[in-house]
Amino acid sequence: MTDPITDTLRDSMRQVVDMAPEAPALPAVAQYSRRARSGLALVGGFAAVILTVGVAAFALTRPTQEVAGSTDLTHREIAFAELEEAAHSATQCIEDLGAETRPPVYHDDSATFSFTMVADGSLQSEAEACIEELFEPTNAEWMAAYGPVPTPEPHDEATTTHATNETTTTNPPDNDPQSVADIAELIGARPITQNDLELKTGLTPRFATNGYELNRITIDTETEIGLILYNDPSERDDGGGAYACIYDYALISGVSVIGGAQCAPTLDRAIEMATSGATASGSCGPVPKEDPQVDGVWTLFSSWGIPDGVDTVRVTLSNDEEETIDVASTRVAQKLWNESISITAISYDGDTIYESPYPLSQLPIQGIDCAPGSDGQG
Amino acid sequence: MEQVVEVRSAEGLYGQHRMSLIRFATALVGPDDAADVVSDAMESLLRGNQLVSAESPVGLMHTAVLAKARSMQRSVFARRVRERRFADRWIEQQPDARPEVVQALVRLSPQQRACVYLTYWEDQAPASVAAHLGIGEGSVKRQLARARAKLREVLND
Repeated sequence: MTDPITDTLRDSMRQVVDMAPEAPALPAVAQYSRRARSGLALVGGFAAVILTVGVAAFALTRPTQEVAGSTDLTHREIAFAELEEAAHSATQCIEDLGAETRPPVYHDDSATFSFTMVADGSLQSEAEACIEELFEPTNAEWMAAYGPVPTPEPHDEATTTHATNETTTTNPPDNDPQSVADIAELIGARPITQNDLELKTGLTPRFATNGYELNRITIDTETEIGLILYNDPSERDDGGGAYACIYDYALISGVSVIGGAQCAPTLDRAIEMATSGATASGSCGPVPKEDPQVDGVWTLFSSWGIPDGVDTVRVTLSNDEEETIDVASTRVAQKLWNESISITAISYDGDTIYESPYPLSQLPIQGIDCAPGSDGQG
Repeated sequence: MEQVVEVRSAEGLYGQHRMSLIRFATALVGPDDAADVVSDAMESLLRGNQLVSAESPVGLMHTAVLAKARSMQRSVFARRVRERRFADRWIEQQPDARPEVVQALVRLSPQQRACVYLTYWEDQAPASVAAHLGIGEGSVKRQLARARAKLREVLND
């Protein structure tokens, strides 16, 4: 025997089911791979939304490896810069097709360059042409001068599967300097300017200005946490650009970085980095440091990333109730860390700008204050 | 003895549960947005390559649909528009629907609606609903109690 409410709910659900439309087809998510000419491995995956149009493998020799401690550019560095320039040209060509791109990225750990664009898969062949015409010739020169070329794993022709992982199939050579100590040797032996980082990461920060000098990079080989201290000679309050580069470098290199920042390009990038294995947190700025975890989460929002135009952050609590908090409130951090199951950033006009894909409390964030001696600037 | 080997594929899993998922999504966001929600949820799962290897792929698909529905509903303004559109369509298509009940039900939170749907349409026990949605059994009972309380208010008026 049922009660009237149960009957009503059952009947209502029947009515809902009667209104259900046809189920959509499974979204087209596919991956393919192919072997390219001249011994290069080109691997791509495309989907309706995200398309990795090519990953070209080349010999892994870090361009700065032979000149650690020197500020002179070597032929290898120049060649590598030309290679990166070629990668940018190919990316620009892809953007000219009407696609949104991500900056070309050099993955040290797999000795690859990757190009990623967000577009309909119909642009794939044209995007590949951009890479083949604008990137591969320079890549071939690089390999001829600084080979050998790692032997790629054989790929099936036009393999189609319902999975997309933006991965390469090449193996890094045995001499791949993977350790944090190697990275420290490579990048910590001399001051690195923002331009160096920009060249390295292939990213142009929103607040990019020249003149930043990183005066110390140290990396704790046990904790694998790096500390970057920098000077801003101009004392301008736009250090976010420098930090964007630094943290992007951390993302690419896998080095954990702590340091201060008060502005940064996007929250997405912070989240991406925080979930990639690189750890970035801490602040020298006006951030509460009592609770390092709160500090870390707070940094994500206050330092890196309330996107432009965001007025409030709405927190969905574990009891499914929502609370809207002014972004200026430090309570945001505590709410985010301790109670939230999801986060939504709301713009002034009520549109949703950002929604966290997972609870922030699960992000691998560590909060560590800047060491004494930092410049204390954000 | 014949050995049965389970072969999972995303296509197979989706094909087997697509109707269940679209009904579930309809209960959450209404018929106009249900297909988008299911499609977005499946795309996320495929891109993350999580589905085939999941311990409970059915639960994962339902969780993903609920997450997309909640995401869609978070903007207050947009939510109000969708609720009104959902209610209008419901009343229009279902002659025996009681407008006050429909209004009450479309204003339930997505999670409450998910619990109501799985409980009262799919006849799942609280433990099963909890497993589907990745929440605690206590949460399921709490959400059902709140939903029933809201409906009781309407029916008692």
